[in-house]
Formats: sequence, C-alpha cells, structure tokens
Amino acid sequence: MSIIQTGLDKKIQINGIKLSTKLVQINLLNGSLPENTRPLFFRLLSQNQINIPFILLTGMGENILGSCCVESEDINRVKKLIDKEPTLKQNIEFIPSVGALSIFPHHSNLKLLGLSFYLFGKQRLPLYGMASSISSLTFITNYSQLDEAVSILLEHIDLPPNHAPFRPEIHVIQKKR
Amino acid sequence: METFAVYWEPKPKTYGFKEVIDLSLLNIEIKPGKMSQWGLMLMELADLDFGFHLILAKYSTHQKFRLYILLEKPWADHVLSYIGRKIDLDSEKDFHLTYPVELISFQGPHFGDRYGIADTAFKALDGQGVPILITVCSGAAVYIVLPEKKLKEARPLLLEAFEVP
Repeated sequence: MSIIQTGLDKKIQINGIKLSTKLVQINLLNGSLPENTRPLFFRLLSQNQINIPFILLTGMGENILGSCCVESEDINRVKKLIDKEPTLKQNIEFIPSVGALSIFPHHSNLKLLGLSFYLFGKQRLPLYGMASSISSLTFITNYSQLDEAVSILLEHIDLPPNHAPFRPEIHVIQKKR
Repeated sequence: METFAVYWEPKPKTYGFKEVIDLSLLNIEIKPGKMSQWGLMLMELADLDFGFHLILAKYSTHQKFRLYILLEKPWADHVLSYIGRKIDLDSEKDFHLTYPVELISFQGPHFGDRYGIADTAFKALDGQGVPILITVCSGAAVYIVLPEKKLKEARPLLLEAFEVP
C-alpha cells in the first residue's frame, strides 16, 4: 500500500487538539465478574461524587468488560471504595498515569482515525482506549507521552493558524447543595 | 490556576435524544503490531466516503485491542467486502458482524465533568430486561448500543431518568 494511495502525502486540516489532565484508567475484568458488579462500581463512584470523564463498556464476552478513566486526584478515594468490596477488588486493574488526547472534528469519516492508528502504531505509542464523540476522537495513552503523540500527529495534521494544542483551564465540578 | 464552577441538578438535563435503528456493528481484534496496518486500511476505507455513528477501541491485554465500528448496513457490506480482499475473513476468528443493532445517544451540559451520569443511565436500564451491548461516555455525549428491538423498551426508561427539552 503506497503512501500516495492512502493520502498520507497530504496534511489533514483539523480544528483543534485537546489534552486532559493526569488520569488513571480502571479496567473492569470480565473473569468471574458477578452480574451486579458493574452497577455496584458505578453506583459507588456516583455516591461518592467521583466523576468518570471517559467510559467504554461492552457486554460482548471479552477479557476486559470495559474501562474508564478518573482524575488522578480521585484515585485514592476510588481504591478505598473498591477495597471494601471483595468482588470488585478481584476484578479490577489500574493503569496509572494516563492521559486523553482529543482531536476534532472527525466529520464521521474514518480518515482521521486511520491516520492516527497508522502514526501511533508506527511509533509504538501505547493505546489503552479510543472513542468517538459528537465531533472528536479521544485516545487514551500514557500521560508522559501526550506531547510526543501531538508531535507525531502534527507531522500529518494541520491546525488553524494561531492554534495550539490546549489543556482546559476551567475545571467544572458538580456538588450537591 | 484553576477556576471551579459548581453545578448540580436533581435530574440531568439533556439536549435531546438521537435514535438510529437497523445498524451494523463490526468488531475487529487488532493484534499487537498491527495497528499501523489497520490504520492504512481505515484510511483507504475512508475514501468510500461513508459516515460512522460510533467508533471505539477497547484495550484488551498485551497491546491487543478491539475496534468497534457502528455504521449503516449497506456500508458495513462495503467494508466487509473491502476487508475480505485484504485479509482472509474465514481464518480471522476475531472478526464479528452483529446486525441489526440500535443506538440511542444523548448529550447534556458538562456531562464529561459531572459525576453520576453513567450511573443514572445504568440504573434506568438495569433489571428491566434491556441488555446493553456497548456504552460509551466521551466528552459530553453518551452512546448506548442495544440489540434489535430493545430501543423501544429503553427509550421510556431513559426519558424518565433524564430531562428532555
């Protein structure tokens, strides 16, 4: 497959790249996970006002039922909650220090995803999860490699003039009155 | 410096629900070291110029992951035919097509920043005989993929749990 065939010779124009703060990925292992474990996990986090900015779950019988990410500042609280629930404790693993890189817009077209897979795969950048949203594609990789991921992408992607990858400066949290 | 805003509502507001039926769900295992090869194939597929409804890649183990593409059935047939020319589908045990499936998705203010959104959706559907094939919460959007004919059961349950304009 030649580079010209796949369009890698032309840069793709996008509108932006957003980087997250430091996150921890939590993998829910399928193993012998009792049916009520997933609801228990999400209920515990909700009751303790812990946000989960990224969730991927499938019910399609694989080793890992799904994964989600929480802010690294919340992980000790999450671990304490899980420690009290033996069924959860046995079926959960953590990937510390991950980050989310979102690129937009995807225009519901596979080109941007294909390019990202090609570039990240070639550079052996670890990928722990990916999902589309309304307009963006979000990739989860090592937090320490987010800047490297951006550099890899920018070799084949163009941002609008005067735009740079950004980290949100406003942190919205929800609290019960 | 961080700025904090406080936001709470008893029943999460949404901007409305989007529903699509009669979709195909492709499920492909991407083995370690094959990501760049699949990337090139996806770029070629993009030239067919079809739209996907949802894409996700779920980490499996040891740098293996599963790619799911949710798209209209006629396009799924094109994708299968393309991939069939590139790899031997009969020998690829880890390539699945599920058809038909249904999608309900919604978004709301600051959904990505607020706790309890996923739990509200799961509480609405769990124990009601509505199996969920896939759930994705990314950005401010929630996507729920359901088996055939389950959307009509899921809709009223979600409409009760969330506020719709």
